[in-house]
Amino acid sequence: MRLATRFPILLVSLGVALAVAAAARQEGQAPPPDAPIPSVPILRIVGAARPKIPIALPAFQGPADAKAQEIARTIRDTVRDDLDFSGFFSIVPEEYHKMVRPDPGGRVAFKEWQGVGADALLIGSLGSDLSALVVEWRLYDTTDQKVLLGKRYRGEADQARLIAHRLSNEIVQQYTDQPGIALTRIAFVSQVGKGKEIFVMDYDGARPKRITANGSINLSPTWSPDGRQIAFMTYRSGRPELMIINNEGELQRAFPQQGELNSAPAWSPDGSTLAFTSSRDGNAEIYLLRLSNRSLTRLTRSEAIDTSPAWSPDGRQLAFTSDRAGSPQIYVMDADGGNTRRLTTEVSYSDAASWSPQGDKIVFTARVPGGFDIFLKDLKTEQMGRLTENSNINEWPRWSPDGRHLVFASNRTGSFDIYTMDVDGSRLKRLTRGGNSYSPSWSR
Amino acid sequence: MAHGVSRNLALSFIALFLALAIGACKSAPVAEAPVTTPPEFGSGSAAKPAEKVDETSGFQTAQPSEEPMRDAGSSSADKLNAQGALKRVQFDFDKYDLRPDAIRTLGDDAATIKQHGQFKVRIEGHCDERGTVEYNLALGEKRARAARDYLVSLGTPAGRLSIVSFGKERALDPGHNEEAWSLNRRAELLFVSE
Repeated sequence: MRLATRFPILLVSLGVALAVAAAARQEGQAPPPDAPIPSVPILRIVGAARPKIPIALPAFQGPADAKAQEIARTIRDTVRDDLDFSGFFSIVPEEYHKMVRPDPGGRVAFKEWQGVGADALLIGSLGSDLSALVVEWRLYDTTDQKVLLGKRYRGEADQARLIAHRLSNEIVQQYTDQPGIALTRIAFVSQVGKGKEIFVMDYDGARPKRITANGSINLSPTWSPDGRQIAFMTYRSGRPELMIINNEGELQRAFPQQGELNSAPAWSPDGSTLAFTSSRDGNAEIYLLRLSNRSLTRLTRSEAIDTSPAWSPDGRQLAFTSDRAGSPQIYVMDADGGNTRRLTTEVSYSDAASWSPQGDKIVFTARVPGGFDIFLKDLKTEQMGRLTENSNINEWPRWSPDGRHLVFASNRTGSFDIYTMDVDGSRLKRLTRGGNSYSPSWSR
Repeated sequence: MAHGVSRNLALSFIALFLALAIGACKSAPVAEAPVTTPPEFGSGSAAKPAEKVDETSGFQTAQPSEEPMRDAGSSSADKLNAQGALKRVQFDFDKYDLRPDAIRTLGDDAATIKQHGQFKVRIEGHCDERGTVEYNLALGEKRARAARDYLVSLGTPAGRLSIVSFGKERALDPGHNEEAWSLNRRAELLFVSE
């Protein structure tokens, strides 16, 4: 009975949808919500074809006791994973290491390492005194048979992973002249009981740490450009308001509620200003909050929803989401609120823009039949690429500081977790497990 | 891949053999760079002085919310809420305009609010799980505001009404299907003690 009455409506609405779709294309408007997404090719990312540097990382030597061996293994494995993740290196498989015959004179067996395909070689060792962790390492070029870089680090016994990340960054810098990202961190939201708390973890998912513990709902963490503070939105007073804490979760600044909604903070690249959403004038609009004197500038003026501002890396423009055309879409405006133009016309529903560090691309999430996927738009060519496709929710993409990776939230396993992938959608990596974790932000 | 590696290996071993044969007695020209000691590790960013906490005006440590206790006999806001005195209103996906059923429900709610003049009313806007946290916060706010504006148009004093959005953070039904979603797209009206 219900079916019988519904069928004609479905048929009619299908006809209307097609007509609307045709009209929409003519007017440059979005197709209706359930129109199929045009199949868009994955963009070829500049630099992807760059040949990878083969590097061998034999086990770090150290004292024989189990604790030392474990630290040595942690450091070597972490460096290996960092270099692999960076995309600049290929790792010589460990099973080849045993083919390398040690040099009888105790020197580095360059030819042997070359023989198993290693152009670069990292040799490291742990000091015998474990009360202070001392790690010595040398990076060799096996062709030129010379040391490229060598250092000794001192740290605490629990800093093995930090030492490894620092080492990885030096190797990346050596070969690419760009700073590595191995010491960056990801802030995110995760459910704790009935509350939502802010967590911080290393960029590889290790060492997750809860930094709020107010039992309330805390959302939308965003890093300051110097990586020392996090702005977020909290209900700890019962109403949504913004707050700034440091890396340890200590309060730095509070912005008591002045309106029904205060949300979606985004830190300007120079660190001086938060862009955020507020309804203090009666509707969800985007404002700038200058941190030095708390002065407010209103940027948007529409009856519709305006939210989720995202800065261009030069601080001159903001991308944001607005439903002023009937469904959420990405718009771009100048940082004074002028010159607003629509960015996404290819999809029916788009949200959560994030600007690449190089300023040339914007990633966002778009509604597709069956879920939400991550898309990328090249601002110069206006080409669009689809980066996920799995009939689930994939949302809130944020860039790594080097512009080579993305972090996002997905419920593809049934619950929301944080994932990273390369900007071409390849090399997916899951960073959290089993929690309800979302809204990632990658530190600079 | 495996073929490539083994070919490389073979070539490399030949090269290695030749190199050893030619340069057996030569010492390798390895110039060991000194192992330099970097700045103390672990100091990193922490070495800089901690940011001064310059403004905490208006901030108070979190306090549990409190409500005055009334005589057991009189009806408390909690009791009325537990009885479902005020009815929630539902919304369509990604919409914040009031449906005909919502308008009818709010008409009833306006009468109930008038009956209990001693209480204020908080209107909470909620969304289903689809869409981002941030967009849904704004959407929930629009829903709560639509309900409030309509109540005001019916004569409810605006001063008795407050709104707050919880976006998709407080689902009534944790399910991932249309039934759960349609239940979760709502504005909840709650009496609060003054």
